Amino acid sequence: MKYRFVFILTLCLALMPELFGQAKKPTLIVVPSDPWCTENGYMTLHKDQGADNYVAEYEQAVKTNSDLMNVIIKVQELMSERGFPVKDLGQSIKSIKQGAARDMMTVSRTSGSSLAETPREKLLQTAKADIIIEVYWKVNSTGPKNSVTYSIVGKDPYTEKQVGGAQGTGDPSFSSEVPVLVEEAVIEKMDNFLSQLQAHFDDMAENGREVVVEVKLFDNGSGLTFEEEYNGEELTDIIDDWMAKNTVKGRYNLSDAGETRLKFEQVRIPLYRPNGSAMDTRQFVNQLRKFLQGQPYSLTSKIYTNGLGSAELVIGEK
Amino acid sequence: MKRLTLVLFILLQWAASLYSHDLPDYEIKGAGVTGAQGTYVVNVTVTAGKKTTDQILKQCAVHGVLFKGFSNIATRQSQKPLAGSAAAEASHPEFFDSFFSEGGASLNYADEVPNSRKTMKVDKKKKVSATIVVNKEQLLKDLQAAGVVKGLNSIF
Repeated sequence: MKYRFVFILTLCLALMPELFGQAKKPTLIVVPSDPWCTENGYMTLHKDQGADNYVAEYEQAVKTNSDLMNVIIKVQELMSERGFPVKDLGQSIKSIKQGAARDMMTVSRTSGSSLAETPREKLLQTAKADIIIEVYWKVNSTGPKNSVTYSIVGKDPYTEKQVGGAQGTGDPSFSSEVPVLVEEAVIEKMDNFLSQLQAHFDDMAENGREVVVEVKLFDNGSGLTFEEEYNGEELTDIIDDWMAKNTVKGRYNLSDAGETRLKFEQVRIPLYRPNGSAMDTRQFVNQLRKFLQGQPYSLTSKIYTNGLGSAELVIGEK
Repeated sequence: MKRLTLVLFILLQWAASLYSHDLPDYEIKGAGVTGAQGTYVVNVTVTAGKKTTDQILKQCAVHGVLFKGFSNIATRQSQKPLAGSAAAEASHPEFFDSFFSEGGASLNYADEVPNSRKTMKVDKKKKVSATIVVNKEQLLKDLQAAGVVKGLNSIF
C-alpha cells in the first residue's frame, strides 16, 4: 500500500510539468495584406452611414488566386518546420461557415429550441488568431529583368503592435520565372522574421504576456461610477492598485480613465497561475472579478473574452 | 605538494585547450545565390599565417551563420545570426568548444562547393576563401534539441 502511494506520487510529480508547465500557445494565421488585396482587386468598398469602409475579400482571394495560395502554403510550411504550425485561412473560413450552418440546424428534440447566441457572440464568429501574419509581394519589371519586393509582418491584434517583420527587394534576374523569385523571397525573408518573433516570445517569457484589459459599467440605473468611494478611495484607484500588485513587475498603463470606463494597455500578465497552470487574460480578469466581489465592494461583474490577449470586465450585473 | 598541484593545474589547462575551439579571423558574406530550401550559401574568407584546411573553412561558415549573421550589399542579402546573437555561444561554452573542436559535430552541417577555393597572399599571411553550403535548418533543429539554442516553442 505504501509503495503504491509512493509510486502514484512519483508519477504525478513526473507528469506535473506536462500538465501545468506550458504557457498558452498563441494561434497564428497567414493573410494577404490590405495593400496586396487592393492591388489585386480583392478589396470591396462598403458605405457605412456615408463613411467609406474597405473590407478585404479573403475568401475570394484564397479561392481564386493561385499565387496567394502558393505563398501562404510556403509560409505555413516554413512555420511548421520550426515546430509552430499556423491556422489555414481557407480552412478557417470554411469552418466558420460550416459551424454557422450546423448551429442553424441544431434544435432540441423536446421543445424544438434553437441554440442560444447573443448578438456579441455572433459578431465574434470571424476568422481570428492571436498573431496575424500579413504577406505582401509585388513583381517589378525593368526591361527583361524581374525582381520581387516582398514583406512579411506579424501583428498582435490585441495590443496593435508589430511582433516581427522582414521586408526587401531581391536581386533582379533575367532568367528566373516570377513564381520562383516569389518563392525565393519568401524563404529568404523567413529567418529574419522568425528571429524577431523569437525575440517577442523571449520578452514574453521574461516580462509576461502583454494584454489589454477594459473595465466598464452596465447602465442598469444603479448610478455606480468609477468615482464611487470605498474607505476614502475611488474605485478607479482601487482597481489601479490591484493592477500594480498583480501585473509582472507592476507593468501596465492606465491609458483611459473616465467615469464609466477604464482602459489598461501594456498590461503584463504572468504566463502561469500560482498553482502552475497556464494563465490567459480571462483568468487574470477573473481574479479582479473575485476581488471586486469581496468586501467591502460586493460588486457583481461579467467577463467578456476577446481572445488570448484581451478581456473586458463589465461591473453591475451578470 | 605544491609542485603536484602546479603540475595538475598545467595538465588540466592543457587538456582543456585540446577541447576548446580556436577559430582564426574570418569574414562571412552571402554568396549571392539562394541554395536549396533549408540551406544558406555563404562565402567565407579566413586570414591566417598557417595552413587553412577545408575543415577550418567549414567551421567558420557554421560559426558565422550561428553567431555573426551575414549580408551582401551587392545582392541585397541580409541574414541575422541563427542562434540569436553571440551571447548564445557564451552561455554554453563547453558545448560549443566541443562542437567547434577539431573533427567536432559542426562539420556535419557544411559542404564546400567544389572548385570554389581561392588563395591570396597578403603580407606574410594568406587569405583563403571558399563558398560553403550550410544546412542551417538541420543545424538549428539539432541545437534546439540539445537545449543550447531557443526555439519558437521554448516557452509553450
